[in-house]
Amino acid sequence: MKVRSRKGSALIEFAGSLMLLSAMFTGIFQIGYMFFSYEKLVHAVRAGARYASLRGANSTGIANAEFPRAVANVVVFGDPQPAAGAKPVVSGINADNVELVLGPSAATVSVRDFEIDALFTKIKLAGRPTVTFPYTTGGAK
Amino acid sequence: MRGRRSCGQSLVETTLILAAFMGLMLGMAGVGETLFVREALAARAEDAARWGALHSYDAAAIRNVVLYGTNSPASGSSAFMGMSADEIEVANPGCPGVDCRIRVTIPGQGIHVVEPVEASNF
Repeated sequence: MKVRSRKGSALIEFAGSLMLLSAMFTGIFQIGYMFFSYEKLVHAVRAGARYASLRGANSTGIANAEFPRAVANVVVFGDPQPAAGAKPVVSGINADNVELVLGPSAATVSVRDFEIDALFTKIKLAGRPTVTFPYTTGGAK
Repeated sequence: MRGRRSCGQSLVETTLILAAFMGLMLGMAGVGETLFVREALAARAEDAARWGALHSYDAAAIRNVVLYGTNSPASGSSAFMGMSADEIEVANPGCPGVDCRIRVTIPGQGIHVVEPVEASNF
């Protein structure tokens, strides 16, 4: 060892540690981005379920064929009637990923068949998040 | 190279590394602060929209909730991050009606909040 050249050993060590480091940074990014996106989805689904619980209780609400679309728009764009070119809450989600179930006393909103695209891998969510709100009748009924 | 003195070399290296490292650290602090302020502002916009949904429509009062945290601020109180009322857009689309809602938008920050108005408050 003493007599052999040490040229290039730093390069090899750097290459070795870079592989480990880049894998670590990628993992940190993916986990962070996944939680960030999931929290945004939870917030959006809650807003959608709240909207559904308020409007679903209206006598005009449930019969309206446009109602599930409006709820999906609240989840995806934060607005029942989004402006043209509105950006979705999490990239890649669309109204088809939002499921609305109007039960006898409560509205349930879920995200279905959606994968969070964390650049290097896609993280599949099995029917989550799901939020249920009992109907808020207010003074309507 | 072999014959030359290497005194002060670590000083030069430290200076170079420190410049890059401080840039990285200050950049992280900057990004963190920007995100923090944006989230605080988004929370205020949500509070304001909620306040608006519970009271008869008053765009100026809703803007005050965003700027000062209260609908009727004391005179001389300072606005959030020095913001002004014209940076906040307030509307009540669908009102009065079954889809009445309060919308608070802060275009400069990409914040867009919609709060449905409960049927009893149309």
